[in-house]
Amino acid sequence: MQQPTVSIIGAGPAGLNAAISLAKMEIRVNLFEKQVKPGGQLSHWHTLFPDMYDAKTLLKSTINEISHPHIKLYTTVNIRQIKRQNNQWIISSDGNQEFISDAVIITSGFNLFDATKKEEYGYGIYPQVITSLELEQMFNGRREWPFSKDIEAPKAGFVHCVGSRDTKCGNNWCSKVCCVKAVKQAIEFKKQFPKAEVSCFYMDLRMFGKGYEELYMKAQVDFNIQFIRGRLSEASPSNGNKVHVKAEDTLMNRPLKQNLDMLVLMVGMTPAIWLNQHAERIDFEKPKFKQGFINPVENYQSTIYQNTPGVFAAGTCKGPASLIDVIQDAKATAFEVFAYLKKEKQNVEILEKTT
Amino acid sequence: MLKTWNEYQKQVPDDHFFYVRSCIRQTFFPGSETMLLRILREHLNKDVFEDPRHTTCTGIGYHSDIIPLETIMTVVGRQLALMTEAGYKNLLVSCVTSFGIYLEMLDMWKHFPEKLEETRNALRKSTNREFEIPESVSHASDVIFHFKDEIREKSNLKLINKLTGQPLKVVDHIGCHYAKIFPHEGFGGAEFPSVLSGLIKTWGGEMIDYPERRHCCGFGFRHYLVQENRGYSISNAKIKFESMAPYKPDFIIANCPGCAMFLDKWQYTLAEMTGKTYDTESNGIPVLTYEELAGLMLGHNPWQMGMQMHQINVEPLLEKLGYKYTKKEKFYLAGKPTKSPSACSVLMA
Amino acid sequence: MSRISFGYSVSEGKVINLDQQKPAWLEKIFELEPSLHRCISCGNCAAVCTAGHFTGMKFYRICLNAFRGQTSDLKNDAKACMLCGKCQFACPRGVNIRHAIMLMTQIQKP
Repeated sequence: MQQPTVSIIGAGPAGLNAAISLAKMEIRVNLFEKQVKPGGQLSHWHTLFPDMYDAKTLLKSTINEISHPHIKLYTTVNIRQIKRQNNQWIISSDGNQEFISDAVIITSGFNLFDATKKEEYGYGIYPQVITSLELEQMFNGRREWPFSKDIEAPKAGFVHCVGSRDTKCGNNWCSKVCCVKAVKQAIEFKKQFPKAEVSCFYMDLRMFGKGYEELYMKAQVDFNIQFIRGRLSEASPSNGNKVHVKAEDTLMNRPLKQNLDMLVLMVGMTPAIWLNQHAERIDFEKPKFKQGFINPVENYQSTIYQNTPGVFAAGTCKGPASLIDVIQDAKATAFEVFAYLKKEKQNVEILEKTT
Repeated sequence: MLKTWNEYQKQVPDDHFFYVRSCIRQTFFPGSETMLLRILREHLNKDVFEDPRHTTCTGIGYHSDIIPLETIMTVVGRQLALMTEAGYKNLLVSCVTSFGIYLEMLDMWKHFPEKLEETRNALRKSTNREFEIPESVSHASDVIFHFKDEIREKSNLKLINKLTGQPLKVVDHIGCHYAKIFPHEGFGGAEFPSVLSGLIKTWGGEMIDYPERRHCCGFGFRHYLVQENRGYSISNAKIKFESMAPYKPDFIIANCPGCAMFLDKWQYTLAEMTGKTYDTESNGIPVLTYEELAGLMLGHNPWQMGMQMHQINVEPLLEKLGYKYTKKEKFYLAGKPTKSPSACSVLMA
Repeated sequence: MSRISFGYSVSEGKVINLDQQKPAWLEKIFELEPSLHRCISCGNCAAVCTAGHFTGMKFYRICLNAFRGQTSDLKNDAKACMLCGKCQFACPRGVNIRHAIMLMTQIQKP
């Protein structure tokens, strides 16, 4: 039997790390990416929480690692169909290319919540209202600040849970990373504008990861960032190119208002639309999507997708997760794939002997 | 498919309306409803029918817990019966409270058909009348919005300050029951109402979006019906005035009877209580109804539209517009001068 | 002021306006006792507070008022404290509560 091949769909952090781990285990990988460059959502970020690690450095070192003889990267390839044939899988692209592989890992990631859906926050209507992604681009100089250069002490607000924990827009889940991301971005903003006044409007502060709670305290003590418990009710335009926000300060038991130069919406994670659109094109035994994210067989074996042998999923296509969790999940999935292929190979050898 | 409320447009019929008036508008803005009829009939050649047997919708009583649900449903059924008898299908409502009432009853009947049957029976027993469900329910401001381009074409007026050449700055106030109950029934929904701002933009003015634009004017029935509660009402109006004042608006336009009335009258009361007015000249900010503004666009005499009945004098606004009007006709009745009201001590003009 | 009695009055809103500049003396308190910034309104201080059982004094609320620049009752609220220091044992974030209270009671104005 030939050296087995695994197809990985999506070259974001999950796909890249799964590919690297498999290659290290002498397994050949076809890595598909619909964008021009690998990197996924990671390529949009400036620094990473909780240690302010430079996103570009991480991405560069990860991409360096995939220049491996066992890994073949296909960019600008959109996968149209995944079909089963005996014990193998046929992956077809929009350009009608076909790739045969012994296992598949779906690493299609997430989309950011479309902030225009929360119209009361005025994204796309008032120029001072931006998303957390756009703020990262401002940090790395790829985008202009939404306020005048003359403003030495800009006032900024961060709205947590935009498109998360919100049945009104159909997203009941917590996107997990936005709390700490807001804290990170607030600190980074204060570093660039030390005289700035920064408020975070939160529902709960879910500092679940290592170093997150410490970062939160740092934001309070070292950077004097104000945390206000209460969801923003609305943003409206105000005099002097400002945006006026209203919220209930639930700890003070009083309504609160403020004029801001910049309002950052911490947009949550939504399932990658790709999966929903193409569910019928993926030849699974029981295709089922829970809230649009890939539903694992059971929570404690989350790398295995459904009951279909040979199809795996890793990263945020299974639900919101931090980058650190995604990398670990991808590596664990790679091991599961390795074990699966080894077992399959043994089965084939037994089959060949008996015939 | 439209993605955002910002762009949302409501369907409004082009002709053949059955018009139902407001209980209170003719007291506070006496020419507005007549103006709407004249605009639709004389300027736009539309067919509008009014039945003198039409009564109050009892909305104020309903919202203040005096009128039970069964009663208001039957009253609404009776108004619809008058429309059915006249052969009309498009209901045109002058008052935002009534507009909300009609929509609420129709929505309730949709979800609870037994309530509709109950209403039909009650109406049959009490008046021997039958009614049909209207094909459309439009607020009078919807219709003015619908014909705003036609009105502009027939007009020589632009909402421009003749003294400075700049567009007039206008703040709008939308009645809460216009779209906050049923967002699909209003242009722009509840969050981005465009029914009045659309008029201002089309007619050459500058629309001002200010922080408390969506705040209730304070008309809330429970707030003003009992004298002791009126402090809530006026305090809400004050929040709005304080929020709009920095923009120096030339006038306020409102589409709800209560809002227009309170935004007009509370300015005087606040001036009496606090000594404060919210414009630079201590005149107060004039408050117009959409019919009055449309009437001005079409060259009507402000005094025949009843604009002398406003608490805040509209003459400074007419001067800004360069509008031709006769000062001395302001207090005329049947061609003869009548006694003018005594001047307010606080609002100067 | 009004010459006419309308039978009702205008009430000021309860809204907190964060646009208002914090007084310099308040900034000074934060500067002298920066651990105040650590407070997360968990309420542990109030749960153990001896004075609070009788006066309604709650240190975390004093702290919140200070964060939001609501200073009108700050000095009086702080004066309710008996300086027993139980709260400081309880605080999970290590706020130097007694020192903060001492600073607040020494405010000259208001």
